[in-house]
Order: sequence, then structure tokens, then C-alpha cells
Amino acid sequence: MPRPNLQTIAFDPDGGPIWVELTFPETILFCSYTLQLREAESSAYVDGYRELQGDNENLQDDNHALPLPVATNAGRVLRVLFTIFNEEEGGGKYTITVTLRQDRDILFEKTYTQPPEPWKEAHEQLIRRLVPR
Amino acid sequence: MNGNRKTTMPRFQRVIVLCSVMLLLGSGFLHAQDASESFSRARLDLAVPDNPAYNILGLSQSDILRPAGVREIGVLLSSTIPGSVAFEAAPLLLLSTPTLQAYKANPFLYRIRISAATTAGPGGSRDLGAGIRFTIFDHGDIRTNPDILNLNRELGAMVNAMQARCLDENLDWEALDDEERRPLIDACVQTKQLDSLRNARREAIKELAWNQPLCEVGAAVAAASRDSLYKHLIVGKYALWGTLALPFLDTHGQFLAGFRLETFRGDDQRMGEFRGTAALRAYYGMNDVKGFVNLDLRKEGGPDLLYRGLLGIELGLLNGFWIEASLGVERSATEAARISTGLDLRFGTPEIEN
Repeated sequence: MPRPNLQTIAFDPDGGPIWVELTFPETILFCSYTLQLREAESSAYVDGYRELQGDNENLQDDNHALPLPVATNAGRVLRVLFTIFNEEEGGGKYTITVTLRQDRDILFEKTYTQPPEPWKEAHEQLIRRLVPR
Repeated sequence: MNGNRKTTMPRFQRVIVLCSVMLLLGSGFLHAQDASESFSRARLDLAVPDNPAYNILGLSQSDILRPAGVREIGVLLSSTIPGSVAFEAAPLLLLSTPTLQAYKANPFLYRIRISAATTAGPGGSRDLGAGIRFTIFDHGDIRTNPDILNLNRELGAMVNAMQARCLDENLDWEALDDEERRPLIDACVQTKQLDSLRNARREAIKELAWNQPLCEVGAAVAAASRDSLYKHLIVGKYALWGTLALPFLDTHGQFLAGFRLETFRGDDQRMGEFRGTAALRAYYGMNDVKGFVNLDLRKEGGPDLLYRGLLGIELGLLNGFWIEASLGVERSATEAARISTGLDLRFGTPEIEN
């Protein structure tokens, strides 16, 4: 199947591990996420990265290291899918920041901020192909 | 999803509330924009409660202070006492933007509410009241109730999986900008949620419907011809069935009582021989997996009764494909007991899957 041209995040194939850090500053709404990593040339998911789940309520760390050796991530597709629940009558607001770090570099950072409609869930997706510099 | 913050309060109420809060807390303590931003934060619309200040002025119908979950602002306008107004605010929730974890760590502080009320006193005077409220515990708080949080966690995983399926089915969406993709995913997830609801409804109906009360009668005729000519057909047997099904043990059991009456030609080719069967059967299980016990009593010809007991299982293996297996004992007054086995394969119109 033809591969669409995705937006990319460049990394150093000879560098240290790539970390995906998820933060939810100033967000009291419940945010759930699933992190996935797909192989470069197929629809298969990388072992252990089919559905890494987390949320902003539990005390688990929301930092996830991508597989090593780091060069194996070349061409792989990173997906982080968010569902945000708004149980409020008058709407709410969420802020989600996704940061990819490698060694001391920030490879990528994006903040999602939306006021979801009352009693509805909101969805966000970060989808990027990882490419070596 | 829209890009504008929604507010539910009419403008004049917001102005009253903001002015009241600023009066109480000091105008330099809160900027109007901050308060406006905070209005829609962290609220479940359960009830606007009485508040202590309202209560102390005698504006409540009862001396009991009605408890309720925390919300940033609550306003009470008395319809019975004109000129009376009260508000209640949770200052920490109103003035800060806590994370969910921060709120969970200190719910007592975030739930503290202060209130103020005013009413017209006698002779044109004004009475003022002020109060404070602490919530010792609140199991209905959506941010701290573990059951609600677990529900959100499970639902979140399900909806995230739906998003993943939407993307797998539309790989070209991955190349879109995040903002372009969002409405497509929203619509796709909504469709999948409806499908999921339909499936859940169908399963629930199947579980509920399989053992509901049911009564049926049936009749049949059997004929034979000594050759292939229609005019030589001779009726050999008439039969009549009746079955009543009743539920027991909620949705887990079904009790059947039935009969079958037959009249047929005997060895002398004369119609008039009789055979009658009464049967009792009980199923236990779910729609797709059930065990059963069965007792038949048959009377025919002579004075003797034929007894047959069965134990069996009925399985829905695939959509529209069922199997029934049974093991039984037959016995009559004149013959020795005989073991019988049965295996039926049944095919029905399959359900249309989403």
C-alpha cells in the first residue's frame, strides 16, 4: 500500500534514546492517551508499542523511551492518540504538551489546547514519521 | 469542537458574580479575565447548593445546609424574598489552574468555599451574611472518585483504540495537519461509538430476549403416496404441538412445558391410533451457551408410559450456526432402559454484523 507523506521529526541515529514526554499542565479534565509506534514499511506495530496507555490522573510517569538501538526507529511512525473527557456543563479547557527529547535536544514540541464542548469528549492525535538527520 | 470559550451564565449574572467576588476578595486579587477563564473549569452540574451565608440570613427554606460538590461559583437569587442574593465561590479552584493530580492531592483545599449573601432588612435596612464551608469528604467528586476515574480510564482506552482503527482504515489521514485531521477523526469515532452502542444493544437484547415468556402452537400433517401421483396421496398422520416458555433465575433460565398429540393410521390402515407426549425442559445459561435437562412422558396404544430423560448442551458456535448435543435414557414398563445420544446441527439466518 502506498505510504502517505507524513510530517517528520528528525533525530540523531547515533545519539541517545528518544524520549516522548507527555504533560498536562493546568488541566483538571481527565486525559487518556495511547502511544503507538508503527514499523517503517508495514502496518505492523513495533513489539511493546502497540498500545502504551496512560493518563493524567495516575502517578505513573508519562515519559516513554522509544526502542533501542535508536537508529532502528528510522522511518517508524509515532502516534500518540488522546481522548479528553469533559463532564462539565459549561465546557472546560485542556492543555497537552508532547515533547520529544534526545540527549539534551528537544526534537519536537507541540501543545494542544482546546475548550471541548460540554459533556463531550475531545480527540487529539500526534502523528509523525521519525527520520534520521 | 469550537475555538471559543463557552460560558453558560448570562452577562448580567457574570457581572454580579465578578463584582461580588472582587468585593469580597479585594479587587486587586482577581482580574476579571482570570475569573472569566475560570468559570468553566472543573464542574459537574449536580446542584447549586444552599450556602452558609444564605442560610444564616434565613433565606433558606430549611436550616439544613444542603451539601453539594464543589463548583467555582454558585449564585442564589431568592424568589420569595425580593432583593436577596447570595453567592458562593471556591477561591482556590477559581483562582488557580490545578492539574488533576494536584487537585487529587489536596481536594480539601480546593473544595473550601466562601459565601456572601445580602437581603433587604426591615425599614429599608440591608442584612449581610458571610460564611465558609469545608467538605470533609465527597465521594461524588468526579476528579477523585476512583470508580469514575477507572470508568474514564477504560472509556479512554476504548476511544483511543477507535481513533487508531479510524487511522488504520484511512492511512492517508496520517499525512494531514493535526487540525485538519481532528474533525475527520471526531466524525469517524462518533460513527464507531454508534456501531459499538448498536452491538452492545444487540448483545444486551439477545441476553434479555432468549428466555422471555413465549407460547406457541403448531400443527402438521403427513401424507404418503404409493407412487409419484398427487391424487394417490393418503394422509397418514396429524399432529399438534403446544409449548409454553417461561423465564426463571432472571436472564439465566428458561422453563419449557409442551405437548404433542398425534393421530395416525395403525397397522390396519385405519386412522385413529393415538400417541401423546408431554415434555418438561429447563435451560440454564446464556444465549450462546446453555445446558438443559429434559423429561418426556409418552403414551401410545397400550396402557404403558414411555419415559425419556435427557441431559444436553446447546452452543451458538458461529453466527447462525448452533449445535445441540444430548445424552438420554429411555425406558418403558415392558422394555429395559436404553441409552440414547443425539447431536443436532442447526443453521439459521446469520445476524448482519456491523
